[in-house]
Amino acid sequence: MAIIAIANQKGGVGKTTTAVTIADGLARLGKSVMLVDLDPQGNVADSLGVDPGGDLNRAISNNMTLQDVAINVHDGLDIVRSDKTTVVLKSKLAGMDFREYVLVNAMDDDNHDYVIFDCAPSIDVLHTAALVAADYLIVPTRLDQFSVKGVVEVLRTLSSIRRFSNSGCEVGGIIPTFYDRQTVETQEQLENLVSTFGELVYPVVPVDTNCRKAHRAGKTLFEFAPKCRALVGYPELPCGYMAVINRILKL
Amino acid sequence: MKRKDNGLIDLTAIDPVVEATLSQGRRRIAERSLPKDERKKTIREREKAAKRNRVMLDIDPAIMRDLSKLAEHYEISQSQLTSLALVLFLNAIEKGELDILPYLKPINNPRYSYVVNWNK
Ligand SMILES: Nc1ncnc2c1ncn2[C@@H]1O[C@H](COP(=O)(O)OP(=O)(O)O)[C@@H](O)[C@H]1O
Ligand SMILES: [Mg+2]
Repeated sequence: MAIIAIANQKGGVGKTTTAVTIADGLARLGKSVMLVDLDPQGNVADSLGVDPGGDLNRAISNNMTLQDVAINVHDGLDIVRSDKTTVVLKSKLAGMDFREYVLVNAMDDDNHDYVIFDCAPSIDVLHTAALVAADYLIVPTRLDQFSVKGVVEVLRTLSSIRRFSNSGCEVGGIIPTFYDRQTVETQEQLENLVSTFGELVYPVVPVDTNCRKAHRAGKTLFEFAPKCRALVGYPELPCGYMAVINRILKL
Repeated sequence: MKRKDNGLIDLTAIDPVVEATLSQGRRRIAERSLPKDERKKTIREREKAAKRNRVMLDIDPAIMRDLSKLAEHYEISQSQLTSLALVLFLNAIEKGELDILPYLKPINNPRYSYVVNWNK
């Protein structure tokens, strides 16, 4: 079993798209996957065309496991939804002892092959709890002038969490998203990321309007456009989420 | 993930897909900064180099239909499927697993001595 946290303190970098696409892709490869939404925005349910719900708050407030409240979306893919009740949950947790272990405890006896946390773009108690529970941190980042700085920030948060808890979370990888081969900026920032993080940099995910369209249609990329750029890359350069999933299988 | 002897991650190692992405990007940018006529020339040269691998063969339409069906089935290009077929065929001949002599029929032609009859 591998527990993966998808996090970046910045919003709009492709965290939810990455979490949903990887979870769906692994499930389609025959793995059992539980995708857990930690963001009160509830984008995971939207992306999968499922009604919104407060599964996360229900589990933790009632001392149940995430597996108890998860709903099945399709073969191999279970999700734990999040909504406004997650905000209430966070304030409830704020005064509690050992609050950074809530997700570890809520995964007692879990038997999925993969558990994937889609983190909110802020360092709150659930973000910390996810990094305490996870084996790997995966950081999606855009390729703009702040990207390296943003990634460094997330890694710094991880190392401070590792210092005060017994988290064994390692950096699994960095995913360059919104890759646009027409711009020099993209190329420069990718060079920058690679010279800073080496092999931790995963294959790029091309910018692709199908991502937004699929989200709006409540479908995953595999359902909406299985041959689109964001999934398979370019004819002369196979990359995208398929190549990313190949790296994740090797974690 | 490759690690050095001291346990640190080896930053000189790069994912091969990322490496290809970087080098294609560098080439694209280098070409873009060339003057217009030179840019045209490099693009033409690249196209010509690609053409060198292109071959014209006269192939029975029935075979082409089967090939195209199979390529579609496996979601690969016809060129790649053909390359694979040829590699398997040439390997089989080299290993002596395949003999093409039974398929050859003598003909009276100034250029070729035999014609192939694959329906045999
Ligand atoms: N590779 C991509 N190309 C184009 N649009 C994308 C891509 N990845 C995500 N998007 C779109 O960008 C927006 C933000 O992505 P999202 O995954 O929600 O980011 P985050 O969870 O980090 O806030 C969404 O509308 C999404 O559909
Ligand atoms: Mg999100």
